[in-house]
Amino acid sequence: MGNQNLHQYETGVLRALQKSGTGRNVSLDELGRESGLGADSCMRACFWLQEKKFITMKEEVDKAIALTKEGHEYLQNGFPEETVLKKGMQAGGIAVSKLAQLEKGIGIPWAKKNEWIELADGKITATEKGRVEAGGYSLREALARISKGAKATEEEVELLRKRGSIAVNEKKKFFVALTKDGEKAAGEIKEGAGIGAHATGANSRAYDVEAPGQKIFCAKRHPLAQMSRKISDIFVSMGFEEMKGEIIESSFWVFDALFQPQDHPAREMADTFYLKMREQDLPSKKIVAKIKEAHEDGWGYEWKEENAKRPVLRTHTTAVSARHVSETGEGKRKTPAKYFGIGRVFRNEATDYKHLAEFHQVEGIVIWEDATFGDLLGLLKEFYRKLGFEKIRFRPSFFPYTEPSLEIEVYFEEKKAWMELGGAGIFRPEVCLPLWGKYPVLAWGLSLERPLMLLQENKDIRVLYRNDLSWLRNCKNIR
Amino acid sequence: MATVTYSNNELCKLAGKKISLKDMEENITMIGMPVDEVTKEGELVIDVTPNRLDLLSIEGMARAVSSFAGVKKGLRNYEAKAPGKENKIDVDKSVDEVRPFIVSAIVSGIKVDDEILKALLDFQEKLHGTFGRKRKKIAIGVHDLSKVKLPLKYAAVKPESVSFVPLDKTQKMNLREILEKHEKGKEYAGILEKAKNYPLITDANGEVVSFPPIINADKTKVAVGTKELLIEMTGTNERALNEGLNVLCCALADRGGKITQMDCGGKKTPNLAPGKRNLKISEVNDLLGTKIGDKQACELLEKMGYGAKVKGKTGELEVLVPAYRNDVLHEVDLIEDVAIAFDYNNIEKTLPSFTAVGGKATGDFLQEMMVGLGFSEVYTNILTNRKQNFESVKLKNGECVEILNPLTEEFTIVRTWLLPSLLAVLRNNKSQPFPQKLFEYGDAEEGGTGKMKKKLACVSRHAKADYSEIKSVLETLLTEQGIKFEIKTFEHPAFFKGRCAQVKVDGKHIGVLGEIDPQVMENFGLDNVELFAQNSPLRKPVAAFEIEI
Repeated sequence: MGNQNLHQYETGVLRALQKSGTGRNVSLDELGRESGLGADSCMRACFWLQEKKFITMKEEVDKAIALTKEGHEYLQNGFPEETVLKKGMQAGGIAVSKLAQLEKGIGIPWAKKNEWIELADGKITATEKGRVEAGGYSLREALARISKGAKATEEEVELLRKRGSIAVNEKKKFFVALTKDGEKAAGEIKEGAGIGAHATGANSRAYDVEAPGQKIFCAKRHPLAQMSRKISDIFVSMGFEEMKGEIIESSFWVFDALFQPQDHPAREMADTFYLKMREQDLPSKKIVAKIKEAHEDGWGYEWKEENAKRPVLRTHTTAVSARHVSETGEGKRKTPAKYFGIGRVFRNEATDYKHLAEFHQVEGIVIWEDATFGDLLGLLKEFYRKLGFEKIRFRPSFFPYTEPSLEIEVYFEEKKAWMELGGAGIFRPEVCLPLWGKYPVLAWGLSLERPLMLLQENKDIRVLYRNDLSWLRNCKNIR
Repeated sequence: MATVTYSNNELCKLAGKKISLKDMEENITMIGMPVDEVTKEGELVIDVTPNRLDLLSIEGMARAVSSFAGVKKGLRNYEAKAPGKENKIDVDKSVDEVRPFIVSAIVSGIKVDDEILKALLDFQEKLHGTFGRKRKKIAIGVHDLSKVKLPLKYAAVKPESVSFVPLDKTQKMNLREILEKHEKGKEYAGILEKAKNYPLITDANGEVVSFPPIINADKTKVAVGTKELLIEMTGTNERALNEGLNVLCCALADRGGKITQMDCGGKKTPNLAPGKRNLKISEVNDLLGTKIGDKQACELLEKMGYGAKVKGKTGELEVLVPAYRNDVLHEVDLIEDVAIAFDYNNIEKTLPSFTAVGGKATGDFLQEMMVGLGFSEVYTNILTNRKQNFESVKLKNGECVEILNPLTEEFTIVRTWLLPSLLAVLRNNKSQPFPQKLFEYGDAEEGGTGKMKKKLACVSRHAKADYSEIKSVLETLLTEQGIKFEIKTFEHPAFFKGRCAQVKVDGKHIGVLGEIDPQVMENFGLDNVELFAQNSPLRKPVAAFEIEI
């Protein structure tokens, strides 16, 4: 039998085994060191050589053992049964009631099992066997051996493991031995073959290039970050500038500036996280007065400044839009303008597969006097087309701060149903005029999670924030 | 948002046309109310948005569908006869402090059957729960007029001064007893918490009609066969009361009821005359981006139940807004209805014609670099609790922003740093293959100031994870970012003493790095303290850093 067909790893293994002699078991670790191939390559070569019947392989389970906290305690101070025995050896024995909890609970049963003590009338006395074995407890000696890395019997290991004194980690170990055929093949290996030889090209052979590669995990961005990046790229390509805002906001920007009356259900404690901290500052008196007027004319109630100052965790990123519209009115920003933003929002509600207390919103506004509802629909259609959702429709909806208002839905073929993707509309004059002095502003607040879930075919929103590594490592990437 | 359930058969009967369940669902959806579910029994479960009070009644929904589907378009006429001499409620000044407003109406020519009774009770419940703000803003009472002697009196009285038999009870109770013992009394007692005297409606015989907003008298209860109804609504906002009354009166008028006004302290209610608004057709087209003609606009408005006509050649429409549409605050509300009738999907989709330069506020260079260094990104919650944020990482309970109204023990504060979140992620992934290298770039609050800061935290857990590894990662990251820094000996309770350092930039502390303290590991269920100390093969230490950047 020629050896032309041997892989360089195989020749390396055969040579190393040849040194050890035929029929002798060599551990894979040792072989890895001897051959200079390392354990993984060695393992692969061994499987190939086993096929060729040049070697035999056997598997052994190796136990890595270490002492637990309790194990150390027992090693130091003795097992509870030893303490019980020691106390039982005192003249007259000892009353059970005088023993500590651990001695009673663990010590007595074990001492009895070892036939070290006798129990009568609530009193413990040491037996003859106990007196003989005192000071030389086999279990403690086994524990001492284990702590030094020496061997203990299987029964001892099992017993100590059950008692929680040691922890055992099982690891498979492989041993290989050269067969007669293998010995022959090893003898035929030409000088210079094997490791390093491939560099010369002389005796190198082809790899099994089709063999399965080793599984490694790719470090990557979280799918929500991948989705955010894709969305940002789309908006930037459509001429939108990114806006940022604060997570802790005043009720003024979250609600009042957006024409939500102060007794609006969304503002109630049940839906909004209110914060125990100092009141938030309000914008200029001029803006506050106009917002007050819009509320009192529109809703017919007495608007109060103190309610607007209450700090909240923003319930939507529309607060960021409101600030941008206001800054435009103050002359700090130019028109026409297109802004987008992606940010975290908070809702004080019970979580389930559809709802979370924390999630993200994709916000966008167009501040332009000539903007139309047709522009809003066109922008949203284009955005979702770029995101990969071709079949979408618009249906009327309601938000207190937009008119007209709409909901965007995508048709999901598998479910044969329309799924909501987000809301949009034109900011009401009661929002635009106090903040900007002009009208209109196109606006939307879309879900970041929903399109991701649709693309990943995931029905439970909680999965996105669970950070389960097997999910993170294997889920579909958003490109 | 209120959820209502309407039977399709009944909707069709009221709308005056047989409409299939599927078409009914489509019609209601395209009017703007999402249909949650269509049941096997032929019912539609609908989320009614808070602007459309009128759709909280099945009569109102049927009316809207009837217009939208073209069965009966345009304005419907609703009339309320002027009040007779006895149709009066004397409103005493004493109610000003507790529940200042009352409106009322009489409905005759109706025969209450099971269907009407159910619709009436459903509507009351929905209105109370939404627009009525759990009876605080509006509370409705509907009574059998034949059991009441007009005129009525509305006054605030001492809690113990009056007793009567409340609805569905047989024993007399005084007002205080009702709040303390009656189930409705207990449920709504909060509304009268600060009141010294309680609001009460009595009739000409001095008998109690209602104790708003808590409960009616049993005597005036409406039942199958009742022919004349007395409606009263009390509350804190007069406008809202009139709107609610109009919606209810129009619904009952759709059932054949004749409405008669009541004089409530000098004000005659209800007023069912339509409101008038002028609408420029150019405003409609400018906002929608459409080319709708004036006649077409009138038709579209009629499809939504409005009356509309072109005012000569002025380019203006005169729009009559029905009394049940309280949500029309502005011309844009009419324009939206034009758009709804036109169907949003039929509007030409355009893009804004101006050019603008797009751009991102910040890049994600930092995160890209962490991925390059072999770390995977995680997204964790900003909300946490004191135990995780402080105690589990051996920190003294520090300053932070607390949530005033937490729903769960899990979320009670805003986190002040990210590392505990990452340790919790490691805890949840103990059985996953190692190495586990994770990072998060996220928000944390700065010690109770309310200021949010961006922080980068990073953990590495595997058999050989140690200080040197995490130091290399951090040094590489900062160097690649072009940041000059110093690493100095430091102590931090969450980190192993002697294997912990701080990072300084321009002499300012920006973060900490090191090996996680064994006790902290144990707190997160990551390792047994003794195993950790022992160079055991089971040991999987954690090295970590967190910096403000």
